[in-house]
Amino acid sequence: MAIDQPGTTGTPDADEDEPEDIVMSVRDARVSFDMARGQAWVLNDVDLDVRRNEILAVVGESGSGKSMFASALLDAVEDPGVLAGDVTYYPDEAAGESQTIGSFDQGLDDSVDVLDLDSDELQAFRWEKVSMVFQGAMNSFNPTMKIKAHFHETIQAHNAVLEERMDHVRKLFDALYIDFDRVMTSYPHELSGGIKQRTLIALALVLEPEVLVMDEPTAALDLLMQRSIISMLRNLRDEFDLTIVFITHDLPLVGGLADRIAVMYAFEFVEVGATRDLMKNAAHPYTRSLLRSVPSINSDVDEMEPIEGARPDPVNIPTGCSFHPRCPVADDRCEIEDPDLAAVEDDLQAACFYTDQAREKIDYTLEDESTEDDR
Amino acid sequence: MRYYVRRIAQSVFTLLSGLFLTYALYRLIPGSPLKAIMANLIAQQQRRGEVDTEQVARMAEQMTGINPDEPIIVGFFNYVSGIVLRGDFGTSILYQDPVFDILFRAMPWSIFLSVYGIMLGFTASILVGVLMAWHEGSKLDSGLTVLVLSVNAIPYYVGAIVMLSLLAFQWGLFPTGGRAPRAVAPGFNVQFMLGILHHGALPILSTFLLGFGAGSLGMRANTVRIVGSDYLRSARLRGVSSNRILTRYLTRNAILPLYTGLVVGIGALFASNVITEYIFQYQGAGWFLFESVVNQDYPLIMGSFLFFGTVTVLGILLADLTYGLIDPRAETGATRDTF
Repeated sequence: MAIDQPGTTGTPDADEDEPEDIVMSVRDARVSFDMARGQAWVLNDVDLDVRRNEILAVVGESGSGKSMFASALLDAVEDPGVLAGDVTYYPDEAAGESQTIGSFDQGLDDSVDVLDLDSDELQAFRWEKVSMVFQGAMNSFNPTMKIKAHFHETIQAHNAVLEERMDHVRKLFDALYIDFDRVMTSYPHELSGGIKQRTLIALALVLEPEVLVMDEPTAALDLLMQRSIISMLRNLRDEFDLTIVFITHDLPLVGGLADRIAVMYAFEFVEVGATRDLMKNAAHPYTRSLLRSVPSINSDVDEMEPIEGARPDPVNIPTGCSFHPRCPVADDRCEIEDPDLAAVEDDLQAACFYTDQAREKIDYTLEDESTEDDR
Repeated sequence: MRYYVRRIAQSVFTLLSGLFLTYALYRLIPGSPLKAIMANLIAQQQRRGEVDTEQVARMAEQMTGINPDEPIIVGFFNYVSGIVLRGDFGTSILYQDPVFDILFRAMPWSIFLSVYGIMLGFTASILVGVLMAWHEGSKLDSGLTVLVLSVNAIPYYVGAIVMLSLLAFQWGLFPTGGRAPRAVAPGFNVQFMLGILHHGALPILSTFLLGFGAGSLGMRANTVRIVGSDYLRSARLRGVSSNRILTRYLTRNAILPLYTGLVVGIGALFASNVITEYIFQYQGAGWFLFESVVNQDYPLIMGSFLFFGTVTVLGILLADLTYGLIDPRAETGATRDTF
């Protein structure tokens, strides 16, 4: 398992004297589908590090590959998709030997090559180390099984101690403000969307994973419920020592939640950075256009500025920079050369040759509320 | 509770309406069996000389349990009250036995055929359906689909006749008719039991084919839908074992839409038994119904209809009342609050 030293490849600007504590790193991850029209790339050689205990938001429009990235973290890309590259998990050294909840045995290595695990190991790895809350919480429970059975079967599948785990679930339910006894004896259809979503989060955390991947967890909820779940996530992260990877299409929503934001366009990361820097003064033209197109309650509908053009076809990704056909600052160079992520500021990287021009040409203003760190 | 009372009352009403229709139609049809019987009696008396219309009417009433001079409503009332108060279903003209006794003796045989046929048929369709869905798109899937469609395309009575002619008449593997071996004393002895199975095998097989085809394709479609569902993917990632996914997730949930069909199908199967039993000369309730129709044995027709009607209505009632037990989403009434 020869893997690059974490924190060097994806974040070349990282402070040399203070190496970041990386919990998962993704290198050259690519997912391809064989289609009748040719091979479709739905994740295109992406590199990203997930830092321990951070909330990382992965933002992109639908079909940008963000769900594929989420699945890749658990090696859960569905057939016929093929995932290649490296996904590495670094266990928490501080926690040491105390973690004996499930059946996953990471052995003596200090890192786990996720794509190298055999199917038994992978089955143990998922949920014990990295777990996931799916898109569409409404359909994530078996409709003919009580909620309790979902918890029990998960605990038993991982050979964990039932009572001890259920005590933990009680704590999770308290942290998520749901009534343990009532919810446990209910069928999924008897619960409201918000409770179902929160129960699903608790189900993902039964085995105390280090990383929680959430794929559009708030997509089907009303705005109030979205807010309340977002605010619970921070508490959850602090209380249970979690790292959260939050996949969403809603950039302003995660402005107040995430520590870092990674923006995806056309199956690649185009900009990665600390939330404050990225929201305040994004460097990539796509991010800037995206922030500009956010509807605001104060501005007129006519003033809304959508991004012109259509998203690229996964079989036929544009050469060079994949955003160039829709980019206002693109020139000939962008059509030929594909820019890599490069440092713009201390904790902000963008894959663009003309970040200065982009900042000059594309203006946006944000409503205070979404950039304010008010939670 | 109110739901159950209402639902049962509905069933009783359905049964009574059906019964009334049969009764009224019997009386109203031009050249009805009743008129035929009376004409027969009159002809007999004419040969002897004088015609006593009152005596004819009395004799007709004796034979059919129907007084031709009564209005239909009154006659129907008398017929039903006879059943309810005295357990009197009339007397078969053909066999000169109480209708109830004839049907009561025949019933277990019909139930034997139907229950085994339907149980085998549905077990097979569930297994084959899940198997096809699990290997969706493979050669096994297409092969089984072709097989199921071919089986489905052959009417069960044609299948029955072919089986009868090949397996029974040509090769002599099975008896050509009857319910039990004549030579063996009836009772709980091995030989008699085996004899019953031997006689019942072909009718059961033909009933089985009836339930098999359509069921397995439906099951396949339901299962494929569930294989693609979010909760199945989620369960797999949670590490739930394939066995549990197959039983608790796939099969369990895919059966739900078929369940009503299964229970209602019991009624339909009894009806199809009329033909199956006749082909195999198997003296069950269906065979007696056929005989009674051919011989204008009116009380037996009414009795048989009552029997088949009751089975069908009971099947539907059972499906309605028990669906809530197997699918928690269909709980009847507001027994639990959503919160």
